[in-house]
Amino acid sequence: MPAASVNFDALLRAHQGVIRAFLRRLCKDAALADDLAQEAFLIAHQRLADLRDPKAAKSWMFQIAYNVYAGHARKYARRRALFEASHGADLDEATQPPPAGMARDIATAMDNLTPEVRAVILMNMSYGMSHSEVARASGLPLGTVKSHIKRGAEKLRTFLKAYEQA
Amino acid sequence: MMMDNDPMDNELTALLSDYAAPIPDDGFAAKVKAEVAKRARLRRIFIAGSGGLGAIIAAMQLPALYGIISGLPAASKLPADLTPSGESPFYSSMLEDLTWGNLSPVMMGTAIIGVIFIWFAAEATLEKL
Repeated sequence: MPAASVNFDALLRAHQGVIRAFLRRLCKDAALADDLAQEAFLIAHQRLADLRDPKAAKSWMFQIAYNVYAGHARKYARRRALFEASHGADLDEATQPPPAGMARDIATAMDNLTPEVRAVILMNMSYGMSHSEVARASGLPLGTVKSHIKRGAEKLRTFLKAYEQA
Repeated sequence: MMMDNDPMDNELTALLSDYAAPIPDDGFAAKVKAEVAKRARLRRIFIAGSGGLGAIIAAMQLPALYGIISGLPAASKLPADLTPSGESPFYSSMLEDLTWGNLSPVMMGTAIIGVIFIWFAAEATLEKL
């Protein structure tokens, strides 16, 4: 059992909502996102002793969640390639209930970003993490993170302008 | 945080906050805690099982190991220059001292090392689960 300064129950209560939302937005499947979130929290429970600074809990949890998602995405990409090679058709995309109005459009705009850029934008703009925290959580170089955020935000701003003009 | 002054960026940030708003618990935390408890239980069973199995395997080797140790040449039969004190049956007495009933400390040590090794192997396996 991990002997840590951070209580697992508190960590779970404090971060389950954002981690699940983050993963839902990344993999676009609520059930799968919850499975990945559960896996992330189980890993966090095992490695709780590694978390020395309770203030870093948020970026630490995002790091685990993003790694779990990336691992799943890699496996899924391989499975998909195998399936398409043998069947010549796409696997069904899991979907969430469509949101309405502008929320739907921002969801569409976000879905057009690559998962990596989407993850970085979410961590920075939705969850208020600093660039260096995002870099640590995503395992990307700081320069790449800044560039992803700049370009991603630019695309979203362009979308927002077009929406307002319409 | 970035882009605090541009109204459009503020709007974008607000939209993204709604887009990725935290999800209510709905029993998720309880499910995770139940899974943690289940894995801890499995871990205990696995470790106890591995330890027990290791002890049984080690115990099964005891008679053979005892036979090997008993078959070692006594000190009196060794050349005089290999014995530390001439006529003194040094090695024989050492072996007698080490033997305790049917279990020698050497074999006990081997068994303990075996159990510890299996324990660590089980821990490493569980970490990967």
